[in-house]
Amino acid sequence: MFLVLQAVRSIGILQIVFGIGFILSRSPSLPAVLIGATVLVLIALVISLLSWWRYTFSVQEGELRVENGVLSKNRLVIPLDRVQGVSIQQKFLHRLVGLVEVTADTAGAALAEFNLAAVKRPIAEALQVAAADQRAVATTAEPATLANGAVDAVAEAFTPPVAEESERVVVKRTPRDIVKLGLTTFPLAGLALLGPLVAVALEFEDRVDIPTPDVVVDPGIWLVWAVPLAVIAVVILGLTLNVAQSFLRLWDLTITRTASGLRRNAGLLSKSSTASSIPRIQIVRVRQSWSSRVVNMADVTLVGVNRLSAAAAGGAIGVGPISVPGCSEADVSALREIALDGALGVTSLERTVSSAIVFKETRNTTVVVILSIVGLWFIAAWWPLLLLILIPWRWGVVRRQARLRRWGISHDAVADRQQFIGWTSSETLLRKINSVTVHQSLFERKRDLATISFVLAGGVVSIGMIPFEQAKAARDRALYVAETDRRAFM
Amino acid sequence: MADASFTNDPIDVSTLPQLMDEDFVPIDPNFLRVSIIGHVLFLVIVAGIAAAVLVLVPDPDTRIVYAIAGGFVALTLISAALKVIEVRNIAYQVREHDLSYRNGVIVKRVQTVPFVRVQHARMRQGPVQRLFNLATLSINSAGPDIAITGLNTEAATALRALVVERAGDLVEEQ
Repeated sequence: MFLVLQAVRSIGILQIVFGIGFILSRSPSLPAVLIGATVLVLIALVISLLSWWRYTFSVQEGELRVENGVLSKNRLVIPLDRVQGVSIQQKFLHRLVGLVEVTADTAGAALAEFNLAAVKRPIAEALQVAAADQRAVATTAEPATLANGAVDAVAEAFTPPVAEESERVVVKRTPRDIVKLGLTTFPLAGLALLGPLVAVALEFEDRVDIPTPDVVVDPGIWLVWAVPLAVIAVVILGLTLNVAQSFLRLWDLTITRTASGLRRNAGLLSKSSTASSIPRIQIVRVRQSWSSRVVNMADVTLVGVNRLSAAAAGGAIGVGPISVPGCSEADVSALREIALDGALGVTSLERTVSSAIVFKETRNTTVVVILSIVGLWFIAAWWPLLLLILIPWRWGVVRRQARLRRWGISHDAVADRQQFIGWTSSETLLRKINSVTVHQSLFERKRDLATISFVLAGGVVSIGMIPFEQAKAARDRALYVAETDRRAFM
Repeated sequence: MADASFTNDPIDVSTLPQLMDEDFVPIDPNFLRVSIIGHVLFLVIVAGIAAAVLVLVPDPDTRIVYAIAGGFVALTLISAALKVIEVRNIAYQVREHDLSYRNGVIVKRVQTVPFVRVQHARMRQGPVQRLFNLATLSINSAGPDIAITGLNTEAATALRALVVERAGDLVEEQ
């Protein structure tokens, strides 16, 4: 059953649409098209059938073994202790037939990318738990064989009971939270979903030529009531879509602290489950927009190791970020505590950045604006002078940002907080840094300022316009911590 | 993960080892020559292309060709001039546990990579570099690479061996 669905899917909805459009516009002999389509479907079906039949995987002696390939044969062996995280996705199509898609995140072995398009859920979860708790697997002396034919029997033998007990739910979203989240997201975000539909509608209109009603509206009155009404309608539509989207994506969002990491489960129609070990978490980002401050919620993102870094370290794929929207203060501190992994973190954010940045940014904006005005003079005469408004605007924005920017460094972590109307903070453990760069632009050098960048496997935490001496001291401290601490950094 | 011997007491910042500016080792002075030769070669190529366009294209708009070629020449000259100033600033420093690289002229930059984070080191040598016995050493961590240009071959080889050895040592200590 699933094979049929997948075969249809492998052709792709887009192609089907194109195909229909093709038939409608050209309408060559219909039977020929049908025969062609049937042949294509059959070929796709045969290929999926063959590759499904040739695709087997098993867990033996602490190794994940995968064999596949129709014509050429591939054999992939991944030691389970190299599997850093297992994510389970259940898309709507999978949901219909009760299967899930599994992706194992590996480090240490290039090309060891492991993706199973369709397995039964218990097996996927067993694999997730097994990979997360390698010791449990290591002690399983009996080789468990998993193949497509005999799945159920093995799934039971394969579930280590140890990990289950130590699991603890950290964050759980109620439907009410989700509604709040949808309402506090920027209304236009939901509208982005409609983009493709608009394109389709325009296309449709072009073809069908709907007669436009001959209503003559007085432009003055029209502006007075129609425009605000349209804006309100758009906002309401956007918010509704946001709520709907939140429900689809964040339904039953649960963050679980497992024996060796964190697991995030969410989704209404398509379910997803991502697991990551604690050392893989690189940066804790907390973001609160002005609207989410009203309902006292913040978004937490636990940034993992990114793809590039994983590749540089010889791994295949990185763990995506674990994003947890709509956190209360308690949630934020719980997640932060887990991510900091025993460290104290930055307790006081009291260092500021130099206000010289206000001058620099205003000066740069002024230069760009004046050049633009001169350039546009020949096209639009006096109108470009309106651009002058940008200068005080930029001045105000940067001034506020510079005043509210805070950063801090403790003996084990560094944190940075940027605020304008909403705020974003990033915190990372010093022992996880990959390299530190202190740089000084000409502007900073004149004022004895500098920018410090802490480079991590998952991103960069960069703080500019700080006193040169502070930057150097921060670098020395970060290097000291990274060089004396021997714990795994990813 | 919990380690009984692990402590996390506050440390006095003034006692931390500091990365001193005066301990940086400048790179081989030949690097400037290699760099200038590179710029000259580029100019020759630009001139060659311009000449080819003027000869091969029937009825060319000479002003555009000259303007584009002139732009390239000006940029190359500026870049060469900056290199002349920069070369004094390019330097590296090896400490027990990390390696630093200093470069830049308009933006001065000091990058430091702890040996524990080094994934691998690679040495590269172009034809002109070989002529002057120079090499570029790239040090790859899980973040962006650090490429130390203008080391003489012996220094580069020694440094690579040291980096790899230190990285290996430190990993084994874990």
